[in-house]
Amino acid sequence: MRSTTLFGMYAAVIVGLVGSLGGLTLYSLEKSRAWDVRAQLAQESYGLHLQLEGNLYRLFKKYGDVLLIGEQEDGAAVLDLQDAIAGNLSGIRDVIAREIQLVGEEEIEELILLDQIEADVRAINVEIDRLIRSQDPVATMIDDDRLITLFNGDIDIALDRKIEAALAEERSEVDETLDEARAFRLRNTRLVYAILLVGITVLIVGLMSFNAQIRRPIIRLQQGLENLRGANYSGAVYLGGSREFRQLGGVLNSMADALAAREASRAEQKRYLEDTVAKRTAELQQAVDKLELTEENRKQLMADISHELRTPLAIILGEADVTLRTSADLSDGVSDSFARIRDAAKHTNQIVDDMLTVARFEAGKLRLDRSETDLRLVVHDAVSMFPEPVQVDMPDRRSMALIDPVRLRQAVLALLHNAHRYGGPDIAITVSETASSQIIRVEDNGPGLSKAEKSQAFERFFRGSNASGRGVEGTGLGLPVVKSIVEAHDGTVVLEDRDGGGLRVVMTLPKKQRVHVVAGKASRKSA
Amino acid sequence: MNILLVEDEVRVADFIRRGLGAEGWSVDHVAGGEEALEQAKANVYDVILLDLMLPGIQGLDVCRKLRARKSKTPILMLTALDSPEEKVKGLKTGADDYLPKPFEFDELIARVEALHRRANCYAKEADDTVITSGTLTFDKSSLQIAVAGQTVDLSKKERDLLLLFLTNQGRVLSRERILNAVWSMNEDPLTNVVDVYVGRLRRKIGCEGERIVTLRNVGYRMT
Repeated sequence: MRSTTLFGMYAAVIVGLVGSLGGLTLYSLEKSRAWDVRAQLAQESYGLHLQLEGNLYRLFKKYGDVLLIGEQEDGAAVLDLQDAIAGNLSGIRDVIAREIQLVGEEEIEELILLDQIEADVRAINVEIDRLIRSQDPVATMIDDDRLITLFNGDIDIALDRKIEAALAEERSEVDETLDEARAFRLRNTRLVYAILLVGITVLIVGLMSFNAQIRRPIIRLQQGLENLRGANYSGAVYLGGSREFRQLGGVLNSMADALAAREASRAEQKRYLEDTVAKRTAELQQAVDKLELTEENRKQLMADISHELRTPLAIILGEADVTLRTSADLSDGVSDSFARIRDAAKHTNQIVDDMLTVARFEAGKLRLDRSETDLRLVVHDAVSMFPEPVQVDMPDRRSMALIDPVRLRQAVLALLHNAHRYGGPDIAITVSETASSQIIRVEDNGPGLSKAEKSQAFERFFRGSNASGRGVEGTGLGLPVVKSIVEAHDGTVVLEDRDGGGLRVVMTLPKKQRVHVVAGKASRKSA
Repeated sequence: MNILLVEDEVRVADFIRRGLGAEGWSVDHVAGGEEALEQAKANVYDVILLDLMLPGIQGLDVCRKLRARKSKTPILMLTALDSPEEKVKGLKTGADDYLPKPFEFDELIARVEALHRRANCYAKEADDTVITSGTLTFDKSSLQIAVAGQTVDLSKKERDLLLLFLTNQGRVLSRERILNAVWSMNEDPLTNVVDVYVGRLRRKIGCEGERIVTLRNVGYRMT
């Protein structure tokens, strides 16, 4: 059932009840007003009857006086009384007419009674007139008895009886009206109770119906929504109640189903994604593990090389060294032989060191111990450790750079040794600056390198044509080591032809801060 | 000088012991960390030479335990691992110096002496102002040098060279060590400057010069 229908029904019932109560009240008011009018009329009629009786009594007394005493002078008073009696009768008739108008034909008998009374009065008047006019005392005497009879019998008794009857009639009418009113009140009271009873019943039924049709569905709807909010899509909700709620329940259930389906597909997607992520993570982890293992292996290999080569080298070097130092009676040949063993071990160790330097740089593991250092100091130290004469050209001002001084000195020294081994005797080193970089150049006046050789010179164990047949001993790792060290400093190293022959190696280190360059004086160092 | 040598490689230990013994020092050799800790507890050493790669307790742990015992004996670490990280780790653990293998024996001796000297706060050397050896006298305060009562005129480098020989009598001094001590140079010089100066010094101190003998392929020694 629609809730509009339901509410319409309740409204109709309530309007009906209120309407019937109102109607009842109006009807009761109307009824009591009619009763009032009737009682008033009865009262009026009663009063008029009493006046009529009084007037008749006085008239008859006058008549008596006239007849017995013969007084004629009071004829006017008799006429007045007769008029009053006639007025009384017409008043009563008027009242009866109104009663008839009020209650219908049942008052006809009153009217008949009144007509009889009027007829009696008229008859008496006529009889008395005749007596008075006759003036015959005998006749009068004869007629006395008739008169007395008339007065006693006809007039007094019969008229009295008739008036009494009329009065009684009026009284009974009033009683009847009162009875009717009592009965009506009783019925009315019962009716009101009945209506109240019906009203209470309707209220109770209405409340129960409201509870079943509206309130319970709303509570169930609330619970259903609560479940949805809590992502609980399991139990279907039956709202019940009126049609709108049943439809709403249907919508809610289909919504819950749709949400559950969506949730399920989302969970499925999530699981799929998680699986994928887990798989990828595992793959990545594997890759990382592999890389770490590779890196670990590489480090281990470096350590192994270091250890496995250095320990035997240490033994060779140490044995040769200690033997030379402790044995006084070695022949020159044996001594020289030990010295060659010792020097070869030192040389091999140098190769191992250089290889490790290059390998560390290539693995990104060349550790620099950087500090703010004057490049001139680095160059000065390198030159002082180098036994051959070098022409040094450096600026007067400090040339600060954030570098590893030990490593950079090693690079400069390696370049000086290279120049000495493969170049000419005129070795020059210059330090200069540009706006963006600091430059160290090492030059020699040797045969230099061809273009092809220069491109190969930084490869490990490369030896240029200038080294062949000169008996010079290098590690073949000088330039690769220099390159490793300079590039670890984010710098570059290139080989150029020197003007007038020879080789020039240019190391360029990028500069962080701006320093002005002032060309310095050339100075010559000698050992 | 008493030296404890902790080295698992017997062939390395062997030449070190011989070499240091030739310097007149006494060397106790142990091959493992546990024995090293026991020996260090039982005896007093001037310097401990500690190899890092040991069976059993690692060299770094030995060092840490010695320092935990409040031992102040100078420790020189010897190892085939020469990466800067390893050096830093060793020095942080309480080692006093670090010498990667292979090393030149001269350098080992120089470092052991330096450690010993540092531990003894240079105290003994400062006391002796006049050194006498044979007919040779060297007054360190007035820098007066005399051979058999005859004053000898020497340049500064010659004086430093003679002082080096006098304070290391009976010991082998390589050219590198002499260069390092007198000319403050560390690298292989490829030069004969030492030979030139030693020749001059021999001539100037006359008959005492014969006490400076040349050891072929090694250097010099003052007997």
